Amino acid sequence: MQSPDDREDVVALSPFSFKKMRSDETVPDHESAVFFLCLGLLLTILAFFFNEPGEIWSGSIVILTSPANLVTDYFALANIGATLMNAGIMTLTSLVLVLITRSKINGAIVAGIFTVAGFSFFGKNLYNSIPIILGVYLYARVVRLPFNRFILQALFGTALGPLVSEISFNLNLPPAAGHLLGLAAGIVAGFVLPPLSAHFLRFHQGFNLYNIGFTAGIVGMFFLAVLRGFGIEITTVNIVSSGNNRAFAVILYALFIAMLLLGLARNRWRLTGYRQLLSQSGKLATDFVTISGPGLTLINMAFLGILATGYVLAVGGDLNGPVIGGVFTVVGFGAFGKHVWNVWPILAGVFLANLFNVLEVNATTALLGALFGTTLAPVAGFYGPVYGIVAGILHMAMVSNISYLHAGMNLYNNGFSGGFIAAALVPLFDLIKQVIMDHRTR
Amino acid sequence: MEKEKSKALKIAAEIIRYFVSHQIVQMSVDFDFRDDGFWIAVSGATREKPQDLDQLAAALQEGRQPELDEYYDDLLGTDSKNQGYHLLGAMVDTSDVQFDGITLTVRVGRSGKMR
Repeated sequence: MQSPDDREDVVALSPFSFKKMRSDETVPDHESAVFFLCLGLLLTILAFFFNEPGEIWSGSIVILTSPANLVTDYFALANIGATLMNAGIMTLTSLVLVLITRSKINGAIVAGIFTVAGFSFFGKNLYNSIPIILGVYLYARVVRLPFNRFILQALFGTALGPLVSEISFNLNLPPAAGHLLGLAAGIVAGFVLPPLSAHFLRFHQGFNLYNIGFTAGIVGMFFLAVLRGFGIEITTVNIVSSGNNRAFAVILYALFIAMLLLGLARNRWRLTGYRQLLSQSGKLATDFVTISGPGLTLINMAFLGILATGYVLAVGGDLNGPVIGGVFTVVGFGAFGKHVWNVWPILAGVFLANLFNVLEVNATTALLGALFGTTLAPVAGFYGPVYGIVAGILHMAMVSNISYLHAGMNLYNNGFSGGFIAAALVPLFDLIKQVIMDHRTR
Repeated sequence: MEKEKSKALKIAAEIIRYFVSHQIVQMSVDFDFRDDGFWIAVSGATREKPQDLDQLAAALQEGRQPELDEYYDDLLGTDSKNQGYHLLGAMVDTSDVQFDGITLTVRVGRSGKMR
């Protein structure tokens, strides 16, 4: 990190004889920007390896003009090429948004861009994301603060994209009315996300990494309640694909190995400092880019990607759109809280739950519960692996039953569930630890 | 309450929480609110250097991150389970941590319009 003494954008001394103070303006990280530029371009170029341009175009139109609630695998809804093109465009758009707002690409932003990229495989697209981002922007204007203060809410808030698509395309409204109402719903949702998401952090004390997911679940629930009040019934769907494991295993492993090599090169071909990274609980807001540096962060992300992809293949699951989205999200949060030591107990807990419940361990729903259940990684990181396994087990039960409240309008359903799990378990785990400590000291 | 004063209280609460968690229970807190920002100084008597003091000092030097502080500041001052250093660092522009064997003093400053 640059010393305050070296920065030219600082202002006068303070009365406590501090060194010079920084101004409010931040400078984008060029290396990180180039990384995401390459990622976005890679996804768009890969599109042409799977489908012809005409198919990509027609598939893109389908993606943009269809309902997008959980679980809508864009591989199945449209085609692989169009999905990859969508993911590439969304990644590049997110990067542009970060750059034009002059936001620093820290760990949270890395997580945000990867999450947008991942969910662009099953639910996010430009049409349903722009109104939400616009809503967040309007909020920033109303409270008279720079938009970059709310860039995270803008990126993650696109979780409610299906709300826009559902109202626009699935309520049998005249097209103009549908578009207008969908746009309005997105703007309203985006507008309320910043104050609500900041407030809801205390509910789970930062132990649920997908805080916007929890917030979006609440907001989605309100919208659904209003729609159901008008007699409109919306249900979740289960549109998933299969048969693409070989191609995407190669692509994903190649990507993660490249990230690993890049990270090692950045870290002088050593893992120095990785043990300290693993000792972090991962509770919000643990920014590994700032704490441990970009090299170790890339290494951590790569390890997580290899672990997540390996889990899917080991249990015999499909690398379809939603699952790839899950892998991308795990990788992204490797910059903002997750690491292999706080993730494995959650995976283990969800796996155990699925051994005994009605779901197959390799069903897409079960895999999403495992991958996105790692939102509770801080529970394992702070309290220990056993507690993390318990959290994983309970999370799988909860997440299977909570999507009715928002009918899949909130793409971060696991974040919604994770909020309740963390809020309930953290006080109980605190009590258990206190009782154990009291008994030991007697 | 004006936003920056609210943030000042949360920052101070987090620093006080750090002191209390290290059994420093006699302390003084100074606030200095100005038009262009504020400074907070917390001093407490202790003969034992907290084991994680160097970590705190390093975290406070990591540099302010407006992208984080507007969103996550509600986590400060709560029972953050000794994990609040980095978030605290993301919310302040400058800091000074001193321990002379008798007194621990943590000073932080944040620029921003008081409104």
